[in-house]
Amino acid sequence: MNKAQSILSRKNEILKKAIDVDFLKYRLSDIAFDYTRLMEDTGYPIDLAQKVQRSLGVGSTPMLELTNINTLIRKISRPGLGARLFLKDEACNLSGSFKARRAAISVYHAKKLGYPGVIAATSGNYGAAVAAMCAKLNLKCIIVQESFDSQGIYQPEILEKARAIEAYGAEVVQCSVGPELFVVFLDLLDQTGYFNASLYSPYGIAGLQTLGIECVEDIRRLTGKDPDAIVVTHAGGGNLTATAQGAKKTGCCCPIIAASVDLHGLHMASDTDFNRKSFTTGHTGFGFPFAMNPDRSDVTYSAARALRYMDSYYTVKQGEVFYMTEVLAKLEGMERGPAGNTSLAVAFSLAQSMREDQIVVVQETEYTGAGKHMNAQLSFAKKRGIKVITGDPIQEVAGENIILPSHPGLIQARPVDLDQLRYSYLRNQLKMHPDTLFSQDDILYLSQECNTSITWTETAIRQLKGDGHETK
Amino acid sequence: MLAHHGNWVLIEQLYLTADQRQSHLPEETKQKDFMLRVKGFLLDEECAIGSVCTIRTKTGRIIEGKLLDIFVAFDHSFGDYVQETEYIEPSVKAIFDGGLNE
Repeated sequence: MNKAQSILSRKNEILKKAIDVDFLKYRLSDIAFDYTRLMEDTGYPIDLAQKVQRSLGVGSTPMLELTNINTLIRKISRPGLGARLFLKDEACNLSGSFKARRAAISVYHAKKLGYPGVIAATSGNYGAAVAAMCAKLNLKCIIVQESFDSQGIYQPEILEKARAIEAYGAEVVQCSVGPELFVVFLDLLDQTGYFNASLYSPYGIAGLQTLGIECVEDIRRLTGKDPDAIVVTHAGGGNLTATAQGAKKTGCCCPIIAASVDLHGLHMASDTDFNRKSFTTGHTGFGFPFAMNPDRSDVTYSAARALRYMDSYYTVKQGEVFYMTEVLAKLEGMERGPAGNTSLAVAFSLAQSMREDQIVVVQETEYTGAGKHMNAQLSFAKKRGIKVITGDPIQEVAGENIILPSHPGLIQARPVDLDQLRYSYLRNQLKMHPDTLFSQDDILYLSQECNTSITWTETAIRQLKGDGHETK
Repeated sequence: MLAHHGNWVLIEQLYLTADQRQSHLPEETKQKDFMLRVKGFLLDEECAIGSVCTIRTKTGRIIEGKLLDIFVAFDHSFGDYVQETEYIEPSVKAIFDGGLNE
Protein backbone atom coordinates (compact mmCIF):
# COMPACT_ATOMS: atom_id res chain seq x y z
CA MET A 1 0.00 0.00 0.00
CA ASN A 2 1.55 3.33 -1.01
CA LYS A 3 1.28 6.58 0.96
CA ALA A 4 -1.89 7.74 -0.82
CA GLN A 5 -3.66 4.41 -0.39
CA SER A 6 -2.68 4.24 3.26
CA ILE A 7 -4.05 7.73 3.97
CA LEU A 8 -7.22 7.13 1.98
CA SER A 9 -7.85 3.87 3.88
CA ARG A 10 -8.06 6.02 7.05
CA LYS A 11 -10.28 8.66 5.45
CA ASN A 12 -13.32 8.17 7.69
CA GLU A 13 -11.27 8.11 10.88
CA ILE A 14 -9.38 11.29 9.90
CA LEU A 15 -12.50 13.18 8.83
CA LYS A 16 -14.38 12.19 11.97
CA LYS A 17 -11.75 13.79 14.20
CA ALA A 18 -11.65 16.91 12.08
CA ILE A 19 -15.31 17.88 12.28
CA ASP A 20 -17.79 17.39 15.11
CA VAL A 21 -20.68 16.25 12.93
CA ASP A 22 -21.57 12.59 13.40
CA PHE A 23 -22.74 12.17 9.83
CA LEU A 24 -23.71 8.54 10.30
CA LYS A 25 -26.39 9.65 12.77
CA TYR A 26 -28.30 11.02 9.77
CA ARG A 27 -28.05 7.87 7.67
CA LEU A 28 -31.47 6.49 6.74
CA SER A 29 -30.41 3.75 4.32
CA ASP A 30 -27.62 2.92 1.86
CA ILE A 31 -29.09 5.62 -0.35
CA ALA A 32 -30.72 8.22 1.86
CA PHE A 33 -29.83 10.49 4.75
CA ASP A 34 -31.87 13.02 6.72
CA TYR A 35 -30.72 16.26 5.12
CA THR A 36 -33.28 18.44 6.90
CA ARG A 37 -32.18 17.24 10.32
CA LEU A 38 -28.48 17.60 9.42
CA MET A 39 -29.11 21.28 8.64
CA GLU A 40 -31.34 21.85 11.68
CA ASP A 41 -28.71 20.38 14.01
CA THR A 42 -25.93 22.82 13.06
CA GLY A 43 -26.81 25.02 16.01
CA TYR A 44 -26.56 28.19 13.91
CA PRO A 45 -30.07 29.51 13.30
CA ILE A 46 -30.19 32.65 11.16
CA ASP A 47 -30.14 35.17 14.01
CA LEU A 48 -27.02 33.59 15.53
CA ALA A 49 -25.31 33.27 12.12
CA GLN A 50 -26.02 36.97 11.48
CA LYS A 51 -24.69 37.94 14.90
CA VAL A 52 -21.46 35.97 14.40
CA GLN A 53 -21.03 37.44 10.92
CA ARG A 54 -21.62 41.02 12.10
CA SER A 55 -18.90 40.55 14.70
CA LEU A 56 -16.52 39.41 11.95
CA GLY A 57 -17.12 42.13 9.35
CA VAL A 58 -19.28 39.93 7.18
CA GLY A 59 -22.74 40.41 5.67
CA SER A 60 -25.12 43.36 5.20
CA THR A 61 -23.50 44.17 1.86
CA PRO A 62 -24.97 46.82 -0.47
CA MET A 63 -27.71 45.90 -2.96
CA LEU A 64 -27.28 48.17 -5.96
CA GLU A 65 -29.65 48.72 -8.85
CA LEU A 66 -27.63 48.52 -12.08
CA THR A 67 -29.42 51.51 -13.56
CA ASN A 68 -27.15 52.02 -16.56
CA ILE A 69 -26.98 48.34 -17.44
CA ASN A 70 -30.78 48.30 -17.09
CA THR A 71 -31.01 51.15 -19.60
CA LEU A 72 -28.77 49.16 -21.93
CA ILE A 73 -30.97 46.08 -21.51
CA ARG A 74 -34.09 48.06 -22.46
CA LYS A 75 -32.38 49.54 -25.51
CA ILE A 76 -31.70 46.07 -26.88
CA SER A 77 -34.98 44.47 -25.74
CA ARG A 78 -38.40 44.52 -27.41
CA PRO A 79 -40.73 47.28 -26.13
CA GLY A 80 -42.13 46.48 -22.68
CA LEU A 81 -39.38 43.97 -21.97
CA GLY A 82 -36.19 44.36 -19.95
CA ALA A 83 -36.31 43.46 -16.26
CA ARG A 84 -34.42 45.52 -13.67
CA LEU A 85 -31.17 43.99 -12.42
CA PHE A 86 -30.03 44.52 -8.84
CA LEU A 87 -26.54 43.40 -7.82
CA LYS A 88 -25.55 42.22 -4.34
CA ASP A 89 -22.06 43.64 -3.84
CA GLU A 90 -20.58 40.76 -1.91
CA ALA A 91 -17.06 42.04 -2.66
CA CYS A 92 -17.67 44.34 0.33
CA ASN A 93 -17.33 41.43 2.77
CA LEU A 94 -14.07 41.08 4.66
CA SER A 95 -11.73 39.17 2.26
CA GLY A 96 -13.70 40.30 -0.78
CA SER A 97 -16.33 37.69 -1.56
CA PHE A 98 -19.47 35.92 -0.33
CA LYS A 99 -17.23 33.07 0.80
CA ALA A 100 -16.61 35.04 3.99
CA ARG A 101 -20.15 34.15 5.09
CA ARG A 102 -19.31 30.46 4.93
CA ALA A 103 -15.90 30.87 6.50
CA ALA A 104 -17.23 33.02 9.36
CA ILE A 105 -19.42 30.28 10.78
CA SER A 106 -16.97 27.41 10.15
CA VAL A 107 -14.03 29.20 11.73
CA TYR A 108 -16.12 30.55 14.62
CA HIS A 109 -17.29 27.00 15.27
CA ALA A 110 -13.73 25.63 15.17
CA LYS A 111 -12.73 28.26 17.73
CA LYS A 112 -15.72 27.43 19.94
CA LEU A 113 -14.79 23.73 19.90
CA GLY A 114 -11.20 24.53 20.88
CA TYR A 115 -9.43 23.38 17.71
CA PRO A 116 -5.98 24.99 17.38
CA GLY A 117 -6.45 25.70 13.68
CA VAL A 118 -8.41 24.97 10.54
CA ILE A 119 -7.66 23.50 7.13
CA ALA A 120 -9.58 24.00 3.91
CA ALA A 121 -9.02 22.57 0.45
CA THR A 122 -9.82 25.31 -2.04
CA SER A 123 -8.25 27.12 -4.96
CA GLY A 124 -10.90 29.82 -4.78
CA ASN A 125 -11.89 32.86 -2.76
CA TYR A 126 -12.82 30.58 0.12
CA GLY A 127 -9.12 30.24 1.01
CA ALA A 128 -8.72 33.96 1.58
CA ALA A 129 -12.03 34.01 3.45
CA VAL A 130 -10.98 31.25 5.86
CA ALA A 131 -7.55 32.84 6.32
CA ALA A 132 -9.12 36.24 7.10
CA MET A 133 -11.52 34.75 9.65
CA CYS A 134 -8.63 32.83 11.24
CA ALA A 135 -6.68 36.09 11.49
CA LYS A 136 -9.64 37.70 13.24
CA LEU A 137 -10.20 34.74 15.60
CA ASN A 138 -6.51 33.99 16.17
CA LEU A 139 -6.50 30.45 14.82
CA LYS A 140 -3.83 28.76 12.74
CA CYS A 141 -4.79 28.11 9.15
CA ILE A 142 -3.63 25.98 6.24
CA ILE A 143 -5.14 26.28 2.77
CA VAL A 144 -4.47 23.53 0.22
CA GLN A 145 -4.65 24.74 -3.38
CA GLU A 146 -4.33 23.20 -6.82
CA SER A 147 -1.94 25.81 -8.16
CA PHE A 148 0.53 24.92 -10.90
CA ASP A 149 0.95 22.55 -13.84
CA SER A 150 3.83 20.12 -14.42
CA GLN A 151 5.81 22.94 -16.09
CA GLY A 152 5.60 24.83 -12.79
CA ILE A 153 3.29 27.46 -14.33
CA TYR A 154 0.76 28.95 -11.92
CA GLN A 155 -2.77 29.99 -12.86
CA PRO A 156 -2.52 33.74 -12.05
CA GLU A 157 -5.90 33.88 -10.32
CA ILE A 158 -4.91 31.09 -7.93
CA LEU A 159 -1.58 32.82 -7.31
CA GLU A 160 -3.50 35.95 -6.28
CA LYS A 161 -5.51 33.89 -3.84
CA ALA A 162 -2.28 32.45 -2.40
CA ARG A 163 -1.05 36.01 -1.95
CA ALA A 164 -4.21 37.01 -0.11
CA ILE A 165 -4.06 33.91 2.09
CA GLU A 166 -0.46 34.70 3.04
CA ALA A 167 -1.39 38.33 3.63
CA TYR A 168 -3.81 37.12 6.33
CA GLY A 169 -1.02 35.11 7.95
CA ALA A 170 -1.99 31.61 6.86
CA GLU A 171 0.05 28.80 5.34
CA VAL A 172 -0.54 27.83 1.71
CA VAL A 173 0.20 24.32 0.49
CA GLN A 174 0.30 24.44 -3.29
CA CYS A 175 -0.26 21.29 -5.33
CA SER A 176 0.31 20.33 -8.92
CA VAL A 177 -2.73 19.26 -10.95
CA GLY A 178 -4.85 16.32 -9.84
CA PRO A 179 -7.40 15.02 -7.37
CA GLU A 180 -4.64 13.77 -5.04
CA LEU A 181 -4.96 17.18 -3.41
CA PHE A 182 -7.55 15.41 -1.28
CA VAL A 183 -4.86 13.02 0.01
CA VAL A 184 -2.69 15.99 1.00
CA PHE A 185 -5.70 17.55 2.72
CA LEU A 186 -6.35 14.38 4.74
CA ASP A 187 -2.65 14.03 5.52
CA LEU A 188 -2.55 17.60 6.89
CA LEU A 189 -5.70 17.10 8.98
CA ASP A 190 -4.12 13.96 10.38
CA GLN A 191 -0.75 15.64 11.13
CA THR A 192 -2.17 18.77 12.73
CA GLY A 193 -5.47 17.81 14.40
CA TYR A 194 -7.01 20.96 12.88
CA PHE A 195 -10.69 21.49 12.08
CA ASN A 196 -11.97 20.64 8.60
CA ALA A 197 -13.44 23.95 7.43
CA SER A 198 -15.03 22.16 4.50
CA LEU A 199 -16.87 24.17 1.88
CA TYR A 200 -19.54 21.50 2.10
CA SER A 201 -20.11 21.28 5.85
CA PRO A 202 -23.50 22.23 7.31
CA TYR A 203 -21.79 25.12 9.14
CA GLY A 204 -20.65 26.77 5.92
CA ILE A 205 -24.05 26.34 4.31
CA ALA A 206 -25.88 27.61 7.41
CA GLY A 207 -23.66 30.70 7.32
CA LEU A 208 -24.40 31.38 3.69
CA GLN A 209 -28.17 31.33 4.17
CA THR A 210 -27.86 34.91 5.39
CA LEU A 211 -27.10 35.90 1.79
CA GLY A 212 -30.40 34.47 0.52
CA ILE A 213 -32.24 36.30 3.26
CA GLU A 214 -30.55 39.62 2.48
CA CYS A 215 -31.21 39.22 -1.26
CA VAL A 216 -34.96 39.13 -0.59
CA GLU A 217 -35.10 41.61 2.29
CA ASP A 218 -32.98 44.20 0.42
CA ILE A 219 -35.29 44.03 -2.60
CA ARG A 220 -38.40 44.31 -0.40
CA ARG A 221 -36.93 47.36 1.28
CA LEU A 222 -35.85 49.01 -1.98
CA THR A 223 -38.87 48.20 -4.16
CA GLY A 224 -41.65 47.01 -1.87
CA LYS A 225 -41.80 43.74 -3.85
CA ASP A 226 -40.20 40.33 -3.94
CA PRO A 227 -37.59 39.58 -6.61
CA ASP A 228 -38.87 37.67 -9.65
CA ALA A 229 -35.66 35.64 -9.90
CA ILE A 230 -32.35 35.26 -8.12
CA VAL A 231 -29.42 34.28 -10.35
CA VAL A 232 -26.57 32.46 -8.63
CA THR A 233 -23.15 31.55 -9.99
CA HIS A 234 -22.94 27.80 -9.50
CA ALA A 235 -19.88 25.60 -8.96
CA GLY A 236 -19.72 23.26 -5.95
CA GLY A 237 -23.37 23.89 -5.10
CA GLY A 238 -23.12 25.64 -1.74
CA ASN A 239 -23.83 29.11 -3.07
CA LEU A 240 -27.03 28.02 -4.79
CA THR A 241 -28.19 25.72 -1.99
CA ALA A 242 -27.78 28.22 0.82
CA THR A 243 -29.13 31.18 -1.13
CA ALA A 244 -32.26 29.20 -1.97
CA GLN A 245 -32.65 28.04 1.64
CA GLY A 246 -32.26 31.60 2.92
CA ALA A 247 -34.71 33.04 0.36
CA LYS A 248 -37.30 30.40 1.28
CA LYS A 249 -36.96 31.33 4.96
CA THR A 250 -38.21 34.82 4.06
CA GLY A 251 -41.31 33.35 2.41
CA CYS A 252 -40.11 34.34 -1.05
CA CYS A 253 -40.69 31.65 -3.65
CA CYS A 254 -39.09 33.22 -6.71
CA PRO A 255 -37.12 30.91 -9.02
CA ILE A 256 -33.49 30.27 -8.15
CA ILE A 257 -31.48 30.23 -11.36
CA ALA A 258 -28.04 28.61 -11.59
CA ALA A 259 -25.36 30.09 -13.84
CA SER A 260 -22.02 28.56 -14.87
CA VAL A 261 -19.30 29.33 -17.38
CA ASP A 262 -19.25 26.73 -20.12
CA LEU A 263 -15.92 24.91 -20.02
CA HIS A 264 -17.21 21.92 -21.96
CA GLY A 265 -14.32 19.96 -23.46
CA LEU A 266 -11.70 20.80 -20.85
CA HIS A 267 -10.88 18.00 -18.40
CA MET A 268 -10.62 19.22 -14.83
CA ALA A 269 -7.92 16.70 -13.89
CA SER A 270 -5.83 17.33 -17.01
CA ASP A 271 -2.38 18.76 -16.52
CA THR A 272 -2.46 20.29 -20.01
CA ASP A 273 -6.00 21.71 -19.77
CA PHE A 274 -5.33 23.24 -16.34
CA ASN A 275 -3.94 26.49 -17.69
CA ARG A 276 -6.14 26.64 -20.78
CA LYS A 277 -9.16 27.89 -18.85
CA SER A 278 -9.68 31.51 -17.86
CA PHE A 279 -12.09 30.77 -15.01
CA THR A 280 -11.02 28.74 -11.99
CA THR A 281 -14.51 28.56 -10.49
CA GLY A 282 -18.14 29.18 -11.36
CA HIS A 283 -17.77 26.83 -14.31
CA THR A 284 -19.39 23.65 -15.59
CA GLY A 285 -16.30 21.60 -14.64
CA PHE A 286 -17.55 21.89 -11.06
CA GLY A 287 -21.18 22.84 -11.67
CA PHE A 288 -22.21 19.66 -13.51
CA PRO A 289 -20.39 17.00 -11.44
CA PHE A 290 -21.36 18.56 -8.10
CA ALA A 291 -25.02 18.76 -9.16
CA MET A 292 -24.97 15.14 -10.33
CA ASN A 293 -22.99 13.81 -7.37
CA PRO A 294 -22.93 16.24 -4.43
CA ASP A 295 -21.21 13.80 -2.08
CA ARG A 296 -17.95 13.82 -4.08
CA SER A 297 -16.70 16.27 -1.43
CA ASP A 298 -14.59 16.24 1.72
CA VAL A 299 -17.42 15.38 4.14
CA THR A 300 -19.53 12.22 4.38
CA TYR A 301 -22.74 13.99 3.39
CA SER A 302 -22.41 17.32 1.64
CA ALA A 303 -24.71 20.08 2.84
CA ALA A 304 -24.44 21.65 -0.64
CA ARG A 305 -27.13 19.94 -2.72
CA ALA A 306 -27.78 22.24 -5.65
CA LEU A 307 -30.04 19.97 -7.69
CA ARG A 308 -32.61 20.16 -4.90
CA TYR A 309 -32.92 23.90 -5.32
CA MET A 310 -32.21 24.95 -8.90
CA ASP A 311 -35.34 25.89 -10.81
CA SER A 312 -33.35 26.34 -14.00
CA TYR A 313 -29.70 26.31 -15.03
CA TYR A 314 -27.97 28.31 -17.76
CA THR A 315 -24.45 28.48 -19.10
CA VAL A 316 -22.58 31.35 -20.70
CA LYS A 317 -19.23 31.43 -22.46
CA GLN A 318 -16.00 32.86 -21.06
CA GLY A 319 -16.05 35.71 -23.60
CA GLU A 320 -19.56 36.71 -22.51
CA VAL A 321 -18.54 36.97 -18.86
CA PHE A 322 -15.43 39.00 -19.74
CA TYR A 323 -17.62 41.32 -21.82
CA MET A 324 -20.06 41.86 -18.93
CA THR A 325 -17.12 42.43 -16.58
CA GLU A 326 -16.03 45.29 -18.83
CA VAL A 327 -19.60 46.64 -19.10
CA LEU A 328 -19.98 46.58 -15.30
CA ALA A 329 -16.81 48.66 -14.96
CA LYS A 330 -17.55 51.09 -17.78
CA LEU A 331 -21.29 51.67 -17.17
CA GLU A 332 -21.61 51.15 -13.42
CA GLY A 333 -18.17 52.08 -12.11
CA MET A 334 -17.76 48.67 -10.51
CA GLU A 335 -14.55 46.75 -11.18
CA ARG A 336 -15.30 43.23 -10.00
CA GLY A 337 -14.69 39.56 -10.85
CA PRO A 338 -14.57 38.25 -13.50
CA ALA A 339 -15.70 34.79 -12.28
CA GLY A 340 -18.35 36.22 -9.97
CA ASN A 341 -19.89 38.01 -12.95
CA THR A 342 -21.10 34.75 -14.46
CA SER A 343 -24.53 35.30 -12.89
CA LEU A 344 -24.52 38.86 -14.24
CA ALA A 345 -24.01 37.63 -17.81
CA VAL A 346 -26.87 35.12 -17.42
CA ALA A 347 -29.15 37.72 -15.82
CA PHE A 348 -28.34 40.25 -18.57
CA SER A 349 -29.54 37.77 -21.17
CA LEU A 350 -32.63 36.56 -19.29
CA ALA A 351 -33.76 40.11 -18.39
CA GLN A 352 -34.29 40.86 -22.08
CA SER A 353 -37.20 38.43 -22.23
CA MET A 354 -38.74 39.49 -18.90
CA ARG A 355 -41.18 42.35 -18.34
CA GLU A 356 -39.96 45.84 -17.42
CA ASP A 357 -41.64 45.65 -14.02
CA GLN A 358 -39.83 42.45 -13.06
CA ILE A 359 -36.79 42.33 -10.81
CA VAL A 360 -33.78 40.03 -11.06
CA VAL A 361 -31.19 39.76 -8.31
CA VAL A 362 -27.63 39.05 -9.39
CA GLN A 363 -26.57 37.52 -6.15
CA GLU A 364 -22.83 38.23 -5.82
CA THR A 365 -19.74 40.09 -6.84
CA GLU A 366 -16.16 39.25 -5.89
CA TYR A 367 -13.15 41.54 -5.60
CA THR A 368 -10.80 41.82 -8.51
CA GLY A 369 -7.06 42.25 -8.35
CA ALA A 370 -3.75 41.29 -9.96
CA GLY A 371 -4.01 37.80 -11.43
CA LYS A 372 -7.79 37.71 -11.17
CA HIS A 373 -8.40 40.74 -13.36
CA MET A 374 -9.78 40.10 -16.86
CA ASN A 375 -6.69 41.63 -18.46
CA ALA A 376 -4.50 39.26 -16.45
CA GLN A 377 -6.59 36.31 -17.59
CA LEU A 378 -6.86 37.40 -21.23
CA SER A 379 -3.09 38.05 -21.41
CA PHE A 380 -2.38 34.66 -19.83
CA ALA A 381 -4.72 32.93 -22.29
CA LYS A 382 -3.15 34.69 -25.30
CA LYS A 383 0.35 33.65 -24.18
CA ARG A 384 -0.87 30.06 -24.20
CA GLY A 385 -2.07 30.30 -27.80
CA ILE A 386 -5.75 30.88 -27.05
CA LYS A 387 -7.23 33.31 -29.57
CA VAL A 388 -9.13 36.32 -28.24
CA ILE A 389 -11.50 37.48 -30.97
CA THR A 390 -14.73 39.42 -31.46
CA GLY A 391 -17.78 37.70 -32.90
CA ASP A 392 -20.64 35.45 -31.90
CA PRO A 393 -19.78 33.70 -28.61
CA ILE A 394 -21.83 30.66 -29.57
CA GLN A 395 -18.76 29.62 -31.57
CA GLU A 396 -16.41 29.79 -28.58
CA VAL A 397 -14.52 26.57 -27.86
CA ALA A 398 -13.05 26.54 -24.34
CA GLY A 399 -9.29 26.15 -24.43
CA GLU A 400 -9.04 27.23 -28.09
CA ASN A 401 -10.58 30.67 -28.25
CA ILE A 402 -12.38 33.34 -26.25
CA ILE A 403 -15.06 35.11 -28.27
CA LEU A 404 -16.08 38.54 -27.03
CA PRO A 405 -19.57 39.34 -28.34
CA SER A 406 -19.61 41.98 -31.09
CA HIS A 407 -22.97 43.23 -29.76
CA PRO A 408 -24.43 42.86 -26.24
CA GLY A 409 -27.53 41.26 -27.79
CA LEU A 410 -25.37 38.24 -28.68
CA ILE A 411 -24.95 37.30 -25.00
CA GLN A 412 -27.08 34.21 -24.61
CA ALA A 413 -27.93 32.31 -21.45
CA ARG A 414 -28.07 28.76 -22.82
CA PRO A 415 -30.37 26.42 -20.89
CA VAL A 416 -29.05 23.20 -19.36
CA ASP A 417 -31.48 20.28 -19.54
CA LEU A 418 -32.19 19.66 -15.85
CA ASP A 419 -33.77 16.29 -16.61
CA GLN A 420 -30.45 15.18 -18.07
CA LEU A 421 -28.73 16.24 -14.84
CA ARG A 422 -31.37 14.34 -12.85
CA TYR A 423 -30.80 11.21 -14.95
CA SER A 424 -27.06 11.54 -14.37
CA TYR A 425 -27.65 11.96 -10.65
CA LEU A 426 -29.75 8.79 -10.56
CA ARG A 427 -27.26 6.94 -12.77
CA ASN A 428 -24.53 7.78 -10.23
CA GLN A 429 -26.71 6.45 -7.41
CA LEU A 430 -27.33 3.22 -9.34
CA LYS A 431 -23.61 2.87 -10.02
CA MET A 432 -22.75 3.40 -6.34
CA HIS A 433 -25.45 1.02 -5.09
CA PRO A 434 -25.82 -1.58 -7.85
CA ASP A 435 -27.43 -4.26 -5.70
CA THR A 436 -29.73 -2.07 -3.62
CA LEU A 437 -33.46 -2.44 -3.85
CA PHE A 438 -34.88 1.05 -3.51
CA SER A 439 -37.54 1.35 -0.83
CA GLN A 440 -40.39 3.83 -1.11
CA ASP A 441 -38.49 6.04 1.34
CA ASP A 442 -35.44 5.90 -0.91
CA ILE A 443 -37.55 6.92 -3.90
CA LEU A 444 -38.97 9.82 -1.92
CA TYR A 445 -35.43 10.89 -0.96
CA LEU A 446 -34.22 10.65 -4.56
CA SER A 447 -37.19 12.69 -5.79
CA GLN A 448 -36.30 15.38 -3.23
CA GLU A 449 -32.67 15.23 -4.33
CA CYS A 450 -33.75 15.71 -7.94
CA ASN A 451 -36.42 18.32 -7.11
CA THR A 452 -38.98 16.33 -9.06
CA SER A 453 -42.00 14.07 -8.54
CA ILE A 454 -41.98 10.53 -7.20
CA THR A 455 -43.55 9.32 -10.43
CA TRP A 456 -40.82 10.94 -12.55
CA THR A 457 -38.16 9.43 -10.30
CA GLU A 458 -39.67 5.94 -10.41
CA THR A 459 -39.99 6.07 -14.18
CA ALA A 460 -36.43 7.36 -14.59
CA ILE A 461 -35.02 4.63 -12.35
CA ARG A 462 -36.96 1.98 -14.27
CA GLN A 463 -35.61 3.32 -17.55
CA LEU A 464 -32.04 3.44 -16.24
CA LYS A 465 -32.16 -0.01 -14.72
CA GLY A 466 -33.96 -1.67 -17.57
CA ASP A 467 -36.25 -4.48 -16.55
CA GLY A 468 -33.97 -5.94 -13.93
CA HIS A 469 -34.84 -3.57 -11.11
CA GLU A 470 -37.65 -3.58 -8.60
CA THR A 471 -38.53 -1.45 -5.64
CA LYS A 472 -39.47 -3.25 -2.48
CA MET B 1 22.48 31.23 -4.60
CA LEU B 2 22.54 30.47 -0.90
CA ALA B 3 19.71 30.79 1.60
CA HIS B 4 20.61 31.38 5.22
CA HIS B 5 19.05 30.32 8.49
CA GLY B 6 15.78 32.16 9.07
CA ASN B 7 15.29 33.22 5.43
CA TRP B 8 11.73 32.97 4.00
CA VAL B 9 12.02 30.31 1.30
CA LEU B 10 9.97 28.14 -1.05
CA ILE B 11 10.53 24.39 -1.15
CA GLU B 12 9.16 21.65 -3.36
CA GLN B 13 8.29 18.12 -2.25
CA LEU B 14 7.74 15.08 -4.41
CA TYR B 15 4.53 13.93 -2.72
CA LEU B 16 3.52 11.05 -5.00
CA THR B 17 5.54 9.55 -7.83
CA ALA B 18 3.72 9.04 -11.13
CA ASP B 19 3.25 5.33 -10.41
CA GLN B 20 1.59 6.10 -7.06
CA ARG B 21 -1.08 8.29 -8.64
CA GLN B 22 -4.75 7.46 -9.02
CA SER B 23 -5.53 5.18 -11.94
CA HIS B 24 -8.47 7.04 -13.49
CA LEU B 25 -6.55 10.22 -14.40
CA PRO B 26 -5.98 11.52 -17.92
CA GLU B 27 -2.71 10.15 -19.32
CA GLU B 28 -0.96 13.54 -19.40
CA THR B 29 -1.61 13.93 -15.66
CA LYS B 30 -0.89 10.34 -14.66
CA GLN B 31 2.58 10.46 -16.21
CA LYS B 32 3.62 13.36 -13.98
CA ASP B 33 4.77 13.24 -10.37
CA PHE B 34 2.42 14.94 -7.91
CA MET B 35 4.30 17.85 -6.38
CA LEU B 36 3.77 20.18 -3.43
CA ARG B 37 5.20 23.63 -2.83
CA VAL B 38 5.27 25.22 0.62
CA LYS B 39 6.95 28.31 2.07
CA GLY B 40 8.59 28.72 5.43
CA PHE B 41 11.64 29.88 7.36
CA LEU B 42 14.87 27.97 6.69
CA LEU B 43 16.04 25.90 9.66
CA ASP B 44 19.39 24.83 8.18
CA GLU B 45 22.43 27.10 8.62
CA GLU B 46 22.50 27.54 4.86
CA CYS B 47 21.26 25.83 1.73
CA ALA B 48 21.85 26.24 -2.00
CA ILE B 49 18.97 26.41 -4.46
CA GLY B 50 18.25 22.87 -5.66
CA SER B 51 19.50 21.25 -2.44
CA VAL B 52 17.35 19.63 0.21
CA CYS B 53 16.57 21.73 3.27
CA THR B 54 14.24 21.89 6.25
CA ILE B 55 11.79 24.69 6.95
CA ARG B 56 9.32 25.76 9.62
CA THR B 57 6.02 26.76 8.00
CA LYS B 58 3.65 29.50 9.18
CA THR B 59 1.72 26.98 11.29
CA GLY B 60 4.91 25.56 12.81
CA ARG B 61 5.14 22.38 10.75
CA ILE B 62 8.72 21.22 10.16
CA ILE B 63 9.10 19.81 6.66
CA GLU B 64 11.81 18.94 4.21
CA GLY B 65 12.08 19.58 0.49
CA LYS B 66 14.14 20.90 -2.37
CA LEU B 67 14.91 24.62 -2.11
CA LEU B 68 13.32 26.46 -5.05
CA ASP B 69 13.54 30.15 -4.16
CA ILE B 70 14.58 32.63 -1.47
CA PHE B 71 12.59 35.66 -0.24
CA VAL B 72 9.78 34.73 -2.60
CA ALA B 73 7.75 37.70 -3.83
CA PHE B 74 4.48 37.68 -5.72
CA ASP B 75 4.86 39.17 -9.18
CA HIS B 76 1.53 38.31 -10.77
CA SER B 77 0.08 41.36 -12.44
CA PHE B 78 -2.87 42.96 -14.18
CA GLY B 79 -1.58 41.49 -17.44
CA ASP B 80 -0.54 43.18 -20.65
CA TYR B 81 -2.49 45.84 -22.49
CA VAL B 82 -5.41 44.02 -24.11
CA GLN B 83 -6.29 45.67 -27.39
CA GLU B 84 -9.09 43.18 -28.09
CA THR B 85 -11.40 44.72 -25.46
CA GLU B 86 -10.98 48.33 -26.67
CA TYR B 87 -14.20 48.22 -28.74
CA ILE B 88 -16.49 47.29 -25.84
CA GLU B 89 -16.77 50.69 -24.18
CA PRO B 90 -17.47 52.83 -27.28
CA SER B 91 -19.87 50.30 -28.80
CA VAL B 92 -21.85 49.85 -25.58
CA LYS B 93 -21.95 53.59 -24.92
CA ALA B 94 -23.19 54.21 -28.48
CA ILE B 95 -26.20 51.97 -27.74
CA PHE B 96 -26.61 53.47 -24.26
CA ASP B 97 -26.62 57.05 -25.59
CA GLY B 98 -28.67 56.18 -28.68
CA GLY B 99 -32.40 55.81 -29.22
CA LEU B 100 -34.67 53.23 -27.67
CA ASN B 101 -34.72 49.64 -28.90
CA GLU B 102 -31.93 49.91 -31.45
